[in-house]
Amino acid sequence: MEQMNLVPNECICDLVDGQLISADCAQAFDALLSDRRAMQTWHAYHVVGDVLRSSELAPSGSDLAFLERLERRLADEPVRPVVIQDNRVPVITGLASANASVFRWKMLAGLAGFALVGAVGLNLWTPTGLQGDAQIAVQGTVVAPAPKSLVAAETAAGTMLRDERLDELMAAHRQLGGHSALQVPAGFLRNATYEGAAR
Amino acid sequence: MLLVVCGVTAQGSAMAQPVVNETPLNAWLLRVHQAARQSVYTGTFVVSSSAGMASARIWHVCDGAQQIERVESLSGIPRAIFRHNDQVVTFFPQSKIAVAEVRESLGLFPDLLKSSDSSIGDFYQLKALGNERIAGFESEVFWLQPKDMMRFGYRVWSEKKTGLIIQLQTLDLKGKVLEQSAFSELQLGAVVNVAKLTRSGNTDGYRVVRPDLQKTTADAQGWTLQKPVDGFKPMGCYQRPPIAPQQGGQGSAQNTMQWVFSDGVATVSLFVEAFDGRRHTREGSADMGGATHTLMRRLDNWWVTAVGEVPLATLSAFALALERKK
Repeated sequence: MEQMNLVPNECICDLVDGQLISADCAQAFDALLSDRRAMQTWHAYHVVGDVLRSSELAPSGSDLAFLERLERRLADEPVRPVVIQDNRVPVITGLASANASVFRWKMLAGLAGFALVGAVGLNLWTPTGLQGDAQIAVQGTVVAPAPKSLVAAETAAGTMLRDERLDELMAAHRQLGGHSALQVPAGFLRNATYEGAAR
Repeated sequence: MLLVVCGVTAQGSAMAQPVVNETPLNAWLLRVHQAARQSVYTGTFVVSSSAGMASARIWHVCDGAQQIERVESLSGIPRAIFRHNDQVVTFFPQSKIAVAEVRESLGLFPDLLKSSDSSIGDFYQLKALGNERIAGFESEVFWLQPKDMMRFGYRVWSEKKTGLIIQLQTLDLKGKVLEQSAFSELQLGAVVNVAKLTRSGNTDGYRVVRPDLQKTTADAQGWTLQKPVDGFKPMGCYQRPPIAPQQGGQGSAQNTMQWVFSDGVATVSLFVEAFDGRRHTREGSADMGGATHTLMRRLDNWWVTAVGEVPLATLSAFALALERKK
């Protein structure tokens, strides 16, 4: 039969969260130190907290062993050819983001970089391409060279490629599209505040 | 600014209470709508989203059934919008052009809310979220929650005494804020010089342009929706003449049809124009940031652009349901 913890899990949880006041706290610590299963629970609760805050804070032993093996293997790899920097492609530097060390984000960034290089290459190759302009991700089903109606616009979300005709249609939508019970004042003012730039 | 003190007070208390389609949601919508019509206020209005931020200075007065409003942009191209009921004139001081137009949609409410045609309650529900202080005013916070995945939700801060909306957030299907419109500063019951405000709508010295917009019907244009999109009703159909390329714009060689739908809160425009292989190269959606989404689709020899403050799935439902009549 599985042995029950001598220290209740709720008590360990309160201890982890700093909820116990001094006398209870000292008593709980004493009980904890004498109960191996309670110690495991104590550790598990800390890991859960760390994972909730960031997966980077909770590497397990096997992860570290894998990393060591990976680093050894990478060190054995032959030296790779150096890619000469193309000055036409802008280099963006800045502070590392909070998720900089998370591998999946790096993978995503790698794919985005690949797409950017592809897009720049397409523009250099295609006479009608919009050379020198930045590219954005457009969730389209057709990949085509950017027509001349597309212009780059800086937004809070980053550089955005804007289609002037689409801007015209969006302005027309705001002009006639105020059919909302919330339109006055919020809807009309929202459209009035927004719409002029597209005219 | 331009305003000089004179004495105008809100007419709200003197107005007769209308007969309301008595659902809590309709009654609440009517209250916030009436508050906007019956209040006198000045303030600074800020719209912000991932697409950027825009702000404007607002003056609003009412005199019985007459609504006069002036909106001066504080960002982007300098412009001032003067509104007298549904008559709207946009002044561009740099080019000395004034665009005069009629916004029929502005006169639509609150009649729709009072009528039994209103089905807003079928697709949204209202939840009270408590009280908060916004722009110096005690406000009640409400959540206009969609009942399906075809429309966005709204978090609304309504001034406690009058019901005036002082902050509005559009929420995506996961509850993330897509866009926020809010008064950063508001003076309710402010004294505004009505004569001076009215004179600011004078177009002297401006070249007045009236958009050549013709009312039509989708049926007359040869279009129909093979299947209606839940909750959305057609509100009007217009034909825009060919647009000459100007100010770097692309223009359009053909008429463009704009078919407008609304569920009472969100609006969708379906634009249909002749397909042009040189311009119409990208089917799909383009994320412009904010609450307004767009979706483009080729349909035989036509190019369909759906625009609206709704999820992409809703735009897709519209674009796929659009059908050329045989």
